[in-house]
Amino acid sequence: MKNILEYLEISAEKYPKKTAIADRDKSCTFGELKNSASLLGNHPVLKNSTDSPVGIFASHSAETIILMLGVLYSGNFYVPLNPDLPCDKLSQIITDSGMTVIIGTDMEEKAKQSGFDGTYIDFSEIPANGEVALIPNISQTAPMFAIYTSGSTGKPKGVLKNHLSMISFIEAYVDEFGFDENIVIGNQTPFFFDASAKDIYLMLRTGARMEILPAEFFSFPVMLIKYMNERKVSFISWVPTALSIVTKLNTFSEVLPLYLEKVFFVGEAFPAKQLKKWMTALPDVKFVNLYGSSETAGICCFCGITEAPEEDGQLPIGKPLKNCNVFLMDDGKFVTDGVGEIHVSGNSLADCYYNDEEKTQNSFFIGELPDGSRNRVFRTGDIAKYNENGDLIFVSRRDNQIKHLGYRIELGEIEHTAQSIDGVAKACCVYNRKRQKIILVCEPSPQSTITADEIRRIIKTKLADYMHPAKVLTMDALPLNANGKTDRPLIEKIVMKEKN
Amino acid sequence: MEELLEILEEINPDIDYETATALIDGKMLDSFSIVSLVTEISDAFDIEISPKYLVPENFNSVQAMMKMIETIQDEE
Repeated sequence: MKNILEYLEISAEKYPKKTAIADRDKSCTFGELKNSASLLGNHPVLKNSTDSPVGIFASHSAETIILMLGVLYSGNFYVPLNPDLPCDKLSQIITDSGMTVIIGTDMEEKAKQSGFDGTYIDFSEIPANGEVALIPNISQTAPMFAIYTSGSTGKPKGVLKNHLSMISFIEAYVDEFGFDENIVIGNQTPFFFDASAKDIYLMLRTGARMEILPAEFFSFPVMLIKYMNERKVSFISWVPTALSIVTKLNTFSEVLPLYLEKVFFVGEAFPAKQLKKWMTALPDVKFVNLYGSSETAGICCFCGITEAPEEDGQLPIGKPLKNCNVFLMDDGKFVTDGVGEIHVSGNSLADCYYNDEEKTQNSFFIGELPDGSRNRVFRTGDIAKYNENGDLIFVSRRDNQIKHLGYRIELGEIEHTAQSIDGVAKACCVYNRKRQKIILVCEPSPQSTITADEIRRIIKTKLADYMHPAKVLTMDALPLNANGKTDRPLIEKIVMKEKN
Repeated sequence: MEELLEILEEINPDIDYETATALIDGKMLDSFSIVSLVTEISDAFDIEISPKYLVPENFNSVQAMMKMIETIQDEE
């Protein structure tokens, strides 16, 4: 296999007339997908470079998939951009990646407002016919896409993956779960999130149809399930937050998903109570807990769930997918008994944090594996242990990274953003897991009259919406620990007490 | 009404609920807010909001929500 585009070429050859992607109003066949993507790949501006980042505004539509694949046909790699991101954040990503081309639909103004001075190509400029690009002669180790995630220093970091990493994952995924062209994928994850690649490349690899589920239906899940029935959705891989909305609103008392066969969940722990409701309502469906990280393509561990755990029980992360070597380490030694940090090795590892050698060296290294061989290893920052079945169980995070509504967030990024506001001397951000609320505590500068409400309003213009604190509080002075550092545990205690 | 406004303020204080008429259609409240809202309303008004009431029309304005609450209270 040359590179990931062969998935598309093969599916377009086998199923030219079969629907590849459908949303509420439009659909696109594998033949059309290949045609549009290869036409875009021949765009003179894109043809000017290889292995370079190309920004794409990733709306939740079939167009975005055409843009991604078109960029790959041109021999470059894509960087999905959240169209709703504040200009400040977009500007950081544009600068950090050094992208000189951005493609989107009616987004030229937003690109400019974000300080972009390169070439903007609008989706409408893609010709309906003409000369197409052939599958580029780039190797599997060529860069494929970079996704920016929350960074603890306040600057988003771009995780760069190559073609091989995604091929390695998809082959193992299809092999493990027996996916074929007959499944219908119900996509929930927006295309600017790493987790969506699982749906996209599964669709391309198998020739299955991907139904893009309208985001607004998640507010009214009866409509969502009815829509899934209309479209015969048989497989979903969602964040537990999305799955929980369905059961929290008692949807199954009104309507059941009739075609669903597999339900996968990924990104955070699925509350046992909600999982139990899913499993009771759908006894014939296969439920699987997935574990992964943006630094590896797709996922690296999985655990089939046959019985919902007790109320406060925990779901295992499970065992490695075939393409991954997953092991625990503590202080440079392998851990088989007790807790250790999850390390992953294998072809699905990301190349690096784009343009950040230091961060890359902190998280990726060449080391010895439990079998004595040497390979590249990624240090996940997740602490875990084994249970009696040899399944991994998540214990905690090494740092201040949290999962909120399925999104990966560095609390440090929110703190840095708060501290960049005039009048804020110090900030400490904590997370109330039980109530799923981000709470920001700020210490105003001595002469400042800034209020909590003002801080909250400014923060909203600087961060993606899922990172907005639910509450902002001010304290005359943040408490310090014995080392003179902000006493985070004490602040957590104070804040949680106040019914936040 | 007061009670409902309090619940809404808690969920998102930046919306002028007294005049808003497109809370859902205008994407002012997201799915996570709806879940909190339904839970809070059920608790505060001691009602059970069955899924058949969960349609955008019932949540686009404070007036629509109040009407829905009263309908459910009458039914119960």
